[in-house]
Amino acid sequence: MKSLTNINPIDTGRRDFIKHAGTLGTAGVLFSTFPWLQSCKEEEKMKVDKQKVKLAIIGTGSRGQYHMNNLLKMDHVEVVALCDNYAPNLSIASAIFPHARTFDDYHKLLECKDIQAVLIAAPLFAHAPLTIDALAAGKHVFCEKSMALTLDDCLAMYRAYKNSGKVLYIGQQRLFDTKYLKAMEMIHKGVLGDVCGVRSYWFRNNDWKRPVTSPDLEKQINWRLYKDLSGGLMTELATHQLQVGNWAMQMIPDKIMGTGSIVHWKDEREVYDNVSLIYSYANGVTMNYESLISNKFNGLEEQILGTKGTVELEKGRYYFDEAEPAPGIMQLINQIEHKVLDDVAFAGPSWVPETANVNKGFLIDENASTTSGSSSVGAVGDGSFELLEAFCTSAITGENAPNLVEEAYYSSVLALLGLQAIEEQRVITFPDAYKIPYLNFM
Amino acid sequence: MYTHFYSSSNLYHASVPHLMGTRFDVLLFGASEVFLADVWKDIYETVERLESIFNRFDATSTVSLLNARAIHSPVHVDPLMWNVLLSAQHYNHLTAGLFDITLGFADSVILDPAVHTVAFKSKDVSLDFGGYAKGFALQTILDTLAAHSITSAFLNFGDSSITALGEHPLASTWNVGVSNPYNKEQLLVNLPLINQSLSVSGNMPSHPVHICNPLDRTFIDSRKMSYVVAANPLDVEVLSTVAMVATASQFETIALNFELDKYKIYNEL
Repeated sequence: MKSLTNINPIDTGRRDFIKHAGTLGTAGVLFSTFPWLQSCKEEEKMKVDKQKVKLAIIGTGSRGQYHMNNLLKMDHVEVVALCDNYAPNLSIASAIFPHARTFDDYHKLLECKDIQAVLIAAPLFAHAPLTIDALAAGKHVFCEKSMALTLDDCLAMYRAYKNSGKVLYIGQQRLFDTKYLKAMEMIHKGVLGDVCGVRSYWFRNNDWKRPVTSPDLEKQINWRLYKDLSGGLMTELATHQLQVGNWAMQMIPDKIMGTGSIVHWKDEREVYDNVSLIYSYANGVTMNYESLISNKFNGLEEQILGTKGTVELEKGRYYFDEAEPAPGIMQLINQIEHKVLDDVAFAGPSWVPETANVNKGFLIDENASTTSGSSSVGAVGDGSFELLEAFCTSAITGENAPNLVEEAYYSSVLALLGLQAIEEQRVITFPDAYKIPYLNFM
Repeated sequence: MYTHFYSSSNLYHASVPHLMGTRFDVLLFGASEVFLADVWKDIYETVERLESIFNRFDATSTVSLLNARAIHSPVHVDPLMWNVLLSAQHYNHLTAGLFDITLGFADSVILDPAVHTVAFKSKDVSLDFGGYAKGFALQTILDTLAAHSITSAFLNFGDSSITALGEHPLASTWNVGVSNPYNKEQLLVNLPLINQSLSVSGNMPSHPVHICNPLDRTFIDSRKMSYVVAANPLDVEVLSTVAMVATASQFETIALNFELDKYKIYNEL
């Protein structure tokens, strides 16, 4: 697993550096540009040398198990407790961490003094009470996104975090994904011009349901489909992508409109199976968001549209509108920008414009992973590992990840405001009551 | 056209997808964005003007007009074209006829120094500056950069005609790797450039046979690639093509007429 401290734009091997055209970042640049990465710094890791945070996991379903498998590969963590009110999942988790104590009541878990931090991978409706109680119990908290099911709960979580002095991480893993970091650096430097639009979408073709052994378990297992437990597509998928749009814009939108319905999956579900929204920023730029789960042709993507070019973050590619600079030139520029010196291999017999009409674009990071977005659990190499590893470091040092909670807060709130706009069939102006000091809402 | 100024490096990047028959990228250093943008404007206008002279696929270019009219009667050319024709003739002599803008009909081109006219004695004559124009453009751009007191720049026509002016911002040399056109992942050689130009000629999978020996008008398929490094961008442009058609001993002799820093001919790749 690649660590963020090892992000290096240039592999020293000849074979690799030829492939490395278009690489953008060095670790130093990333750290200074993105403050939430500070726990990934080598000096921060030195601080936690040979220390392990005693971590409890609350919520041992599929996402919790995904994290557990990542935790197995980390040095600075010891999983000491597991909690779930669904025994089959708890049993699976116990098999992964056989020495961890098990709980079916998180209150009892929080009473354990030896537990320093908790990882919350429970359903959305439980995020706020779990997080607030854990912070109050003096635990550092990693909570999956979205933050909460209601605007009030999001704000309550944020305030609890600010008042606690404890570490809080929210699972917005794209903030730790190298291809996103490199692309954002490029976007913010204006390499693709001024950002003039954002288009994001997530398409799947499945019913989003999991099998249940008894009707009594339907809502417990398929909580994503019920409005009192989940915001559906908006809280489970859109939050990731709304955060990316804001990150690119370095701004929070102030107007939201949208529509949604159940078009195809006409079962007992309550949440929409398709949504379409427009988020407007104060400078006139709009972020268009679309998601449906009855057609997967388009997959998922966040497109940042600039006046000179476009980035497709999920594919990890960028494209220039009018001209495609030579890949070797982009590599040369990246090296100069990042004060890295290495050979650039691109010379050869003359380039001919035989494929000039096909804009294949450039890879942001040759080594980056991409995903189809079809998994409801998580993907490899999407920043989740680095995010959780950074949390473990933070939980030992007690140092927060600046701006991470704010990024997550606004993506969660915007997802909920999107739902509100759909429900109320009106344009929502971002309510002052839910503004926290960040970016243009300072 | 794409341009961007990287303020943290004082680096101005300009890229044009189609100029002189290929992609053109320029990196300029050492001045403000406004200043470098002006320099780029001068460069672009210069190269556009040269393209309007040399592009034989443009029916209105100087070369096209010459090719169409010089068979009928002597055509007067301006001082720039006249000097280009003399220069091409000079290279033809220095390369034992292996560089030839007429592809074997050099004797059929009549230059009248008294009135600066060109006439073709044969209808088979057709001037082609394909192995010359990018080198000439780079040479001209170096003059433009000198006029603006730019001392650090990197110029790249289609990855095959490259000029590195001055020092790399982080080091003394610009290290340019030449990759195998038949296996892009294979680095053939790394060339440290400083106030030097590199020209690479050769066949490639998409164009396996496209370089012609002007003396016998046969296409070269027995040789894969060549590169030449020297201070003069026009010399390297001309000689990298000559290296594809000359025998090894011929080229060694020809090379003595020039101040070449490095060259290599690849028969196999």
